[in-house]
Amino acid sequence: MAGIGADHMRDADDVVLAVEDVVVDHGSSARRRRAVNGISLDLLRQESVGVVGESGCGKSSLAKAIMQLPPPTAGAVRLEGVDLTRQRGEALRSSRRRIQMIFQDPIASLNPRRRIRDIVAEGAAAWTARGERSGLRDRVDDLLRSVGLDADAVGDRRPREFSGGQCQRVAIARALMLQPDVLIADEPVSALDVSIQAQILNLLDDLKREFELAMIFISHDLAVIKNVSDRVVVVYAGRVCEVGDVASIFDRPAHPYTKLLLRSIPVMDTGRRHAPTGNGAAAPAAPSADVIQRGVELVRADETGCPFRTRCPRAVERCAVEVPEIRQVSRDHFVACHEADVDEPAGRGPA
Amino acid sequence: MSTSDALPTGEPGVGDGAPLLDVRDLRTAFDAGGGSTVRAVDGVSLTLERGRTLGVVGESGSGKTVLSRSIMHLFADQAGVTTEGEIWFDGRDLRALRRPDLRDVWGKEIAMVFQDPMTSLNPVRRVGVTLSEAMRRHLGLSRSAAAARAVSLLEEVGIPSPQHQMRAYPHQLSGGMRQRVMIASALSCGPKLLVADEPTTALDVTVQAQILDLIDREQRERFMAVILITHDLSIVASRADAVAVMYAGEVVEHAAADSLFSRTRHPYTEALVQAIPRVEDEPHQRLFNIPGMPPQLAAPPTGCRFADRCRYAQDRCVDEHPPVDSDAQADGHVARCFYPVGSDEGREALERNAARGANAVGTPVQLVAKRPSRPRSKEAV
Repeated sequence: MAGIGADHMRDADDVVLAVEDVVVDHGSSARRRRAVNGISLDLLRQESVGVVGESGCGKSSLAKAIMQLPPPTAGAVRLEGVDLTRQRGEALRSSRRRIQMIFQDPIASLNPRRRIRDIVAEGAAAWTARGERSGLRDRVDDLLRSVGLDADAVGDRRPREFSGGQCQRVAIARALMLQPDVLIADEPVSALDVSIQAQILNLLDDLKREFELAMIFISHDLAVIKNVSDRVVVVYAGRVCEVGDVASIFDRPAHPYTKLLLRSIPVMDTGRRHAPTGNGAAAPAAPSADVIQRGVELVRADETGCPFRTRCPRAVERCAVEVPEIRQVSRDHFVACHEADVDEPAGRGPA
Repeated sequence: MSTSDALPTGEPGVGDGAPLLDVRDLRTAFDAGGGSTVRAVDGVSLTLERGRTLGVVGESGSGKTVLSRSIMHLFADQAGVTTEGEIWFDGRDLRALRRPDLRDVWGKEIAMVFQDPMTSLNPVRRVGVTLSEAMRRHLGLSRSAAAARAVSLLEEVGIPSPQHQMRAYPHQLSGGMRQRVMIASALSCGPKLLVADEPTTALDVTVQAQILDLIDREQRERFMAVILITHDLSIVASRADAVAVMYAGEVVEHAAADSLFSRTRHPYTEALVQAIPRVEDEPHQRLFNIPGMPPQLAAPPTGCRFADRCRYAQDRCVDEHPPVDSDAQADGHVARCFYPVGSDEGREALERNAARGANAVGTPVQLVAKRPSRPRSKEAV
């Protein structure tokens, strides 16, 4: 998978954010590892792009690189055409307020010593002259109500008095306070129970409409990604495997890794008891266990070939030497794989 | 779907008809200081046949983990913990055993796999030592015999070059590999019951599938009973024979897995199923909202504990604590509810609440479970 290229980038007027060939390295010299290895993606106004992949695939490193926290090792992040990686100081500060982020652990991402109203107001307060900050309070209360909290009941309390779901609501209100164009949600529901997860997903959907947000939604959970996304980017070991609209990715996956992910989801079907997941009925013979048992391996910066080849049932010699380039398979469906054949049906049995 | 794998786990002629595990009215309460107690498990009764899998689902704080530890009687003689009830395991009441006797049960007859294999494996011991330890204690094996068995166990759970990995420390293994070591360790003394507490929650979805397949296979080969504790309904749907749904310290519904999903009776189970996004659904489909949060276990409501969040709730649900219904259908499908889903009473209750726009507690009632998807993007078909 794991490919290079930018065929999937769109040439549209309403591209709000374009990530171009971003590279993120962690560590220094000998222990240097490449978390993001040339990822490109773009985001239209009011669009939701889901980024899905397993732990260690570079999802969170990508999100931080977009926020310039810190700026990526290489590549460009363009917010309405302006490259943030070239901005410094006040200019960057002012661009950054237009991209806001919410995180996986909502309790840890709120300052435990501050009151809810102050937490929500903080970002905006930094942009408001000292004498005018009292006017923020009404907006804080409005936003708290928008995220489903009773401003009078919660405003003067502190994060520890709230559950994970409530803290995530506060974090969302804080992010919206700066009226961003882009919201990056990094695994925002992974730490929440299903009943709370549903509340937050519905809330994000409502707010996206109400505040006309574009959203990058990062998750390891394919069902969640399908629920929130218009377009999906599948990532493995720091590279893009497959990009497409939701229907293409979920109904006609082309990349072997996307197929493996889809096959691995436990299905709400009691009839499947004791049918090994790795070998669904419609799938061809499962790869031998020792092939797919490995997890994502961090790659060295000088690694060649497709990083998924070590787990890939279809790997051929070429995959070890040549990084596959992203190519179009249908209108809004792109895959980075030498061997993917596009007409093959999805690997998860009857839809 | 493959028929060869669809064999039931039951093996005729084994056992004397009595279930392997028969838990009766189990209660575990923690002293929370200041005179208050947290009743984490409150009157749970369960049975589990040999070789079968019981799935226990619930959200965080529902008591599922405390239940699993209570079933093993791990809280025996612990200060600040009160336990009540009976735990009949293989013909003995574990609650009547003293700690030294319990230690012969733990690890040997009942083994456990935890969510986080990094913290449950001793970080300063090599994998081989950890694995051998239980076999030397419980089975009286010599050092070399235990080591030899450890190698074959590692091989069995799919660890490449097991001889080599015997000398590895836990931090040198990936999360999936560590969980395989945990499973090997749990299987080492041939337990009759494996308690797996969120065994795959910390793992990636591809690794999760492998670990669940592994537990499935070992269970069939060893004719071992499994209690699979998880927050993920789709895991119990595909892996368990029977399912107990926990809410606020109680089992609110208990049934064979297919019956639980096809003839759901408790409103909480119904809501939980509808709150989960599924890959089969259309994008942007509205998820069912379960309003509010679970109650505090230190002061549970007098009536039904789900009443304030339930769209069926009537006055009776607020005042009276629903018992496990005694007139269960033939398949033993029980629920704690006065107005079960699909019953006439349930339908009437729902209609009444829909008419007044709220349940008896005053929580607004969402009538349509799932709204049809709203096509948003240009490419939505």
